[in-house]
Amino acid sequence: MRGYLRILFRSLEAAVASWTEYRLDFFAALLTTLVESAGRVVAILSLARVGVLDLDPDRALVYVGAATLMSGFFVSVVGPNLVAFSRRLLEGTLEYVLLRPRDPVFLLMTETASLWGMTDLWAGAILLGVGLFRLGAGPGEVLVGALALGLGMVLAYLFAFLLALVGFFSVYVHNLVNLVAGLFGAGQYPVRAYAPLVRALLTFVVPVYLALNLPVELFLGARGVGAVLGLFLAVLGLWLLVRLGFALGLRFYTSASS
Amino acid sequence: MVRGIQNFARKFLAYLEASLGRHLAYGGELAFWVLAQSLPLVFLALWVEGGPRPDLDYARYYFFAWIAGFFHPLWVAYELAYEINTGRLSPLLLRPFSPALDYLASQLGLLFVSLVLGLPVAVLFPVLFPGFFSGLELSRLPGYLLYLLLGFAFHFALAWLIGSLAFFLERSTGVLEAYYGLLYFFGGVALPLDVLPPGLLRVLEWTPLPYLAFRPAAWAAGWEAGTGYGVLALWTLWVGLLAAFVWRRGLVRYGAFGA
Repeated sequence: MRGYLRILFRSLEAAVASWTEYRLDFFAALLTTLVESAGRVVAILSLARVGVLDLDPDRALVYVGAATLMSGFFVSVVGPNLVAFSRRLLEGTLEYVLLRPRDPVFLLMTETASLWGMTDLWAGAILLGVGLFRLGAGPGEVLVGALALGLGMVLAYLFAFLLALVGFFSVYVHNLVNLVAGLFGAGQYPVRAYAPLVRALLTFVVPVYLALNLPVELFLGARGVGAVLGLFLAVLGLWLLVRLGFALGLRFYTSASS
Repeated sequence: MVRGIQNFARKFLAYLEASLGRHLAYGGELAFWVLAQSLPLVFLALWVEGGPRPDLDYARYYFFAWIAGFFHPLWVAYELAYEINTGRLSPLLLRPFSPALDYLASQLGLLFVSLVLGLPVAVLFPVLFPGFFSGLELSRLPGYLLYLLLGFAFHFALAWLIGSLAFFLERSTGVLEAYYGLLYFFGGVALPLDVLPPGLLRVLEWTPLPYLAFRPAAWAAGWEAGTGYGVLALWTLWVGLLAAFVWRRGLVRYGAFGA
């Protein structure tokens, strides 16, 4: 376990070091975050004002904050790693990972990170914090909610990774990542506000409800703590599925040397 | 003169054909792109569930805003910046006409292929919303097409400007991410802008944003929305002039390997 944590920190460190070379990108990322956060807040407040959503402004902030954190996680962790994974498949360099004495799926999921999403993570934390503070949430709810949101992010990541396994058969994964990130973006609004067809899609096909709405409901104290256990089981189940899919995919993998 | 134009047209058509073939070859990748491009349609499900207007109004709005999105050739910026940074622009400069034509042909090919790939999504509309087409006013079509044309021109100019900045900056395309955010939330892609606070909307009307998705879609869907071709045309003009200026200044600075 400690070995895995050390690997995680080392790859983060390396990624941060390589990204600080381009300072202009940081300002671009900051600008993007400001625009998008403003957009999300204006959109959700407008939707609540015309009655499409049944939310008060403070709860809306909690929803937007959680979605912004998820977006930052996708930009900084999910996207870069999936792109790196697909490049390994394309170039036949997956061996470099397979030969290492640790779990290859873990290594692939934590290989790199990008600073692009950092500003989104800050903005998300601020929005979430302001919303919760104004609602007067207790420390228990905040703790449970944060834990659930962390699990939700892992769940979303595993789901994206599962889809990226098509990389064993097709070379382009980048647009797939955008697609999944966009679908989780739909979770900036409560899933129950969507029409039944889309509600079912975002609940049962893509785990947007589990990964984003459930943590928010825990933050808001609208759910029992038992929901965290359910979320944990979902993460575990998806992890096993990803491992299974990865093992299957490896059978179709041929590298430059084989 | 006529021969010259004929000659030029023949070359450009050859470019188009090549571009079409190239994009068709990557049909699988583009299919994902078209799907990603169709994501805002998810929000339609919010409006039909609880929006104040009739369902068909929203269905038509999101449909036409979605179509307009294909007429935004912003990829040009990434490609141009990449080719400037890596020096791959050099062979394009050797050709007897501007590299802009290469990009234009490429984007038209992409537009055609993505519209075809978008057909399965488009078919969903009349299926999910009976009477989708019957209430549309044909007289609004020319206005909508004019918006699409202007939107294409504006984004081509903007992409050329941002791409050309790569002559001067190591990374110029980062700012596009912010622009995508603006277009998404304040251009009418994610939600119709008439629900925004009126003061904000009045400010936005001075920018090109509402004329790229909101106004065209509202116009084609038959909503009572004003037009604003002039605003968009003016923006296209001055962004285009700026792009041409930066491009020319950049070419003077440009030096690839071996130059």
